Amino acid sequence: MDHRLNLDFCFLCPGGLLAVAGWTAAPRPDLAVHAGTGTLKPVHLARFPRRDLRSIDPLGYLAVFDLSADPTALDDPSEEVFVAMGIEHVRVSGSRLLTDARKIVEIGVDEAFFTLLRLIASGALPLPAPALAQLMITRILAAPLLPPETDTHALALEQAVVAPAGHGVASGWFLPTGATAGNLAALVFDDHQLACVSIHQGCVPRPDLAPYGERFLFGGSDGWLASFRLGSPCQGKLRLLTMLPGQLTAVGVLGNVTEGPATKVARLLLEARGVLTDSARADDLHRGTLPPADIVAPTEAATGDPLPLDAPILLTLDHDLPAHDLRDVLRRLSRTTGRTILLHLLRPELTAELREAVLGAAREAARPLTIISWGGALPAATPGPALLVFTRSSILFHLDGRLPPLEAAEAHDLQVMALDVMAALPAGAALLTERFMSDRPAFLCWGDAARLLPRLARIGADALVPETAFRRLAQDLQRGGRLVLTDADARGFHAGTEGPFAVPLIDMHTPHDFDALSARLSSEGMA
Amino acid sequence: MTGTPFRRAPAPAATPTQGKIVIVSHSHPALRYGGGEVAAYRQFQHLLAQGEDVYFVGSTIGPEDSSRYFGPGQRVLSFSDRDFCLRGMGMDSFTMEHSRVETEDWLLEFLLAFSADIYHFHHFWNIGAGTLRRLRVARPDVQMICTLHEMTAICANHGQMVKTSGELCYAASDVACAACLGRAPAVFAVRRARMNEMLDLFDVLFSPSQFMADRFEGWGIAPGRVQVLENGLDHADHPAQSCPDELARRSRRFAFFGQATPTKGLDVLIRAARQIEAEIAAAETPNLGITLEIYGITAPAFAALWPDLEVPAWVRFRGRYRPQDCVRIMRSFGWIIIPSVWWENSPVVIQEARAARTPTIASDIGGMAEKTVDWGINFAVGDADALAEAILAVHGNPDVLARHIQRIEPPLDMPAFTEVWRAASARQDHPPQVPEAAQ
Repeated sequence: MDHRLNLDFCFLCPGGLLAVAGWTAAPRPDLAVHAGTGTLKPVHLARFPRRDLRSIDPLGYLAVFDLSADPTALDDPSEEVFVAMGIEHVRVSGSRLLTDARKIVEIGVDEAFFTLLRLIASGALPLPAPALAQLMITRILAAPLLPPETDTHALALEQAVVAPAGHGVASGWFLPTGATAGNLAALVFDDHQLACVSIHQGCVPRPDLAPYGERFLFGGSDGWLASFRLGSPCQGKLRLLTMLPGQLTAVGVLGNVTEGPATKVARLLLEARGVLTDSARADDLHRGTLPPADIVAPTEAATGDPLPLDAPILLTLDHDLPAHDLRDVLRRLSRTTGRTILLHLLRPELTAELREAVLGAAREAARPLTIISWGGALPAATPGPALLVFTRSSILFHLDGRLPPLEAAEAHDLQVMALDVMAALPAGAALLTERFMSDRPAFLCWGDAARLLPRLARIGADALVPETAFRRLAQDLQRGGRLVLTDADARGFHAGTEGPFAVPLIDMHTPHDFDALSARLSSEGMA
Repeated sequence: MTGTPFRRAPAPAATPTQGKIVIVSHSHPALRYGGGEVAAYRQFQHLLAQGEDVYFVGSTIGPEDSSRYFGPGQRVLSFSDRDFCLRGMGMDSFTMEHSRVETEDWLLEFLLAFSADIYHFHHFWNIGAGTLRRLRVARPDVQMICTLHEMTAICANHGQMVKTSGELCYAASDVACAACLGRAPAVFAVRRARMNEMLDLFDVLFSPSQFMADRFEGWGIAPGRVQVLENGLDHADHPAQSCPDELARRSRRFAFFGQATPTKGLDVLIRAARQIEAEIAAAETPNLGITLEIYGITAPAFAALWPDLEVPAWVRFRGRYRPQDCVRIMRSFGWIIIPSVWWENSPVVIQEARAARTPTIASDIGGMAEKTVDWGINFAVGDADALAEAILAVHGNPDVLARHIQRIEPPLDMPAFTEVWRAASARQDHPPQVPEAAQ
């Protein structure tokens, strides 16, 4: 057999990685790349049979080299590199390094393309740029599929849900045979983008699958859980591609992912936590749904005219008390501030009782008090110059008569008053800012609506609770020195327990608790 | 609605002394004969007889009652030029607000149409905290008076300060109430603030008992703010003294007057009767003619409430009675037993017993202990053995009965009530809390 090096594709990937695909009969090829003054060994090497070579031996290869490991290797991207096997080498021009990625997707043999997908799914190679991703999606959809159940395996996708923000979870079970034993790999893709799937195999007890033991390798814990996060909200139909070990004649098993509310994804993650005995694994699963932690809302300097002191209040209210108590909360705020109140109520629907409460408060208000919108999300825009005030009803009620002057400040975009019990303790004042993120005390905040709402929109709709978006914004603004954070007297404060954000997702875990957990996992991930 | 919703009333018979007065009650005694509405209506009738320019506004209790008495769209019945009954829409006593603001709008307009100088509210249920706030805003100059007939402002468990577990409650707090009623403390904090704010609107607060005034002070109402004024009672002169034979007969006769509600403690009384029966049987002596008669409830109604409690044969159920006959009936008994297992406030049965000059054997708590001091006998609340012992201690003892009768003072009559009421309602000691929106 010819033991020469055959090189089909060689291309650069983001992050300084170089992918090389080809074939050789050498069972353990001594592959290397000479780039600049450096010589590098592969960081990943996948071998696979290629039907076009008429052999069942794994003659194909796809190797990954990390050029970033050698500072000189990427000095000039247009420079040629040499792919070597022993003393043999192949010269690769700089232009080819930029075009071969498209070629392997378009004309590479199935086995090479499917291996490329596996390396992306495992994180050995980064996700492709959007244009290349589009090509990959087209080829995946045109590729032969693997049936969910054959003589070599049985793979079930029982549940797969994606939230509007693009994060989701999936679950199912996998029973291999000797031919398919090993790690699954998975990707999700919609019409425009690919994303990796963090898949946890063999972690869910499934004694119900025992009858399959006669045909497959039954382990007892054959359920799997998976999580993912798209780079941007889902566009079009989302599919989950599960790739099985040793099965390169077909792209994999394809399943549909249904769209669902973020609360459903959260509930499934919490349920998974109850199933997984390894808490680190549960954390990893959850982390797989989280956005990158380093997104920071830009802190632009204030522009435009300052907000008039008597500007209407755009009250964005998490009404966490019974519906009828909304009347008390609103009329007290109206009485205290003496200002026009435009209410955006964070309730999914305006029930008759809520409507009556607003009407009742309006009857007693000296200034106009109207509800302008309601729903689970923050208002998209302000109807005019207004002071955005966000809080929970129980906080407004608690601070009644002790509300600070609600005025926008030139030097600070957001002013926050947190009900931090520890702040009143002898040594408690020092760590107010840290506790605002870690202990997550309830708070009242305010600022110019025109400046805050666009930033809140950029933070995204990831959180289950709008309060979380304000907390993240506060964190970002604090880093930019554009936040005022003070504490309020928390003595006698009783948080409300009603409204959509107080309803437990599962057991006693409310959306507030879930967001707190997400924040912790996100910050631990950064650390 | 525009204009006055009723015909102008004829001029009062005599020169009024206090301007126009509206007595507002949560119910109307023409439809329901509860203590609060009876006291309110009695006040109305007496003031009217005194020549005052006075109106009465009662209400049906809720939608069930209303559909019986009102036609479609009808909101008020006019029993006379001065006596009205509103169509009660029902009200959640937890919120103490009308569920529809439109109802409140109409009620406010109706009350304002009287252009009264004094609005005296007996209770605020069916009126609503919002109505009262808006009335105060609309008419900051009027005298607003409230008679507290029970502790609804403090206790969301029907104002009885009895925990849902059945224990007596000694003090309300947001957390304790949350534990009792299974709702969040925040909800009770809001309710407490709303009730406090509402009570602050009144120029004068009356309580028919010191016990309840103390409870409100303990809850946070300023000391002295709640004045004690017993409900006035129309009654004849004291009856003539009983002769010895009659005293001997009465000393063996015991009675209960009340409704078939668990808090009235009739089960305690029946258990005491069973204990007495057992003691008489053990002593192998005749029962010396002891009788116990139950007014206000029938045997089947009792059996429905306490199906497992066997009633001794010598206990007689007399069923319903006309309230105006009560004092006369009581005079034939030696002792009236009041075994309530809640605090009571100022039970009318005690006033009626005083009017009948019939002493009481009552639970040793709350308004019962306060109102029967000196002339009644108290026993440990809920303790059937203690009640049996108290009954047997006075049974067949005319001397003890005579001594207790001697100590009975007649209850406050309507002229005396009105005198105190006039003095209080003329004062402005407590400036009302007018919401800023009105200023």
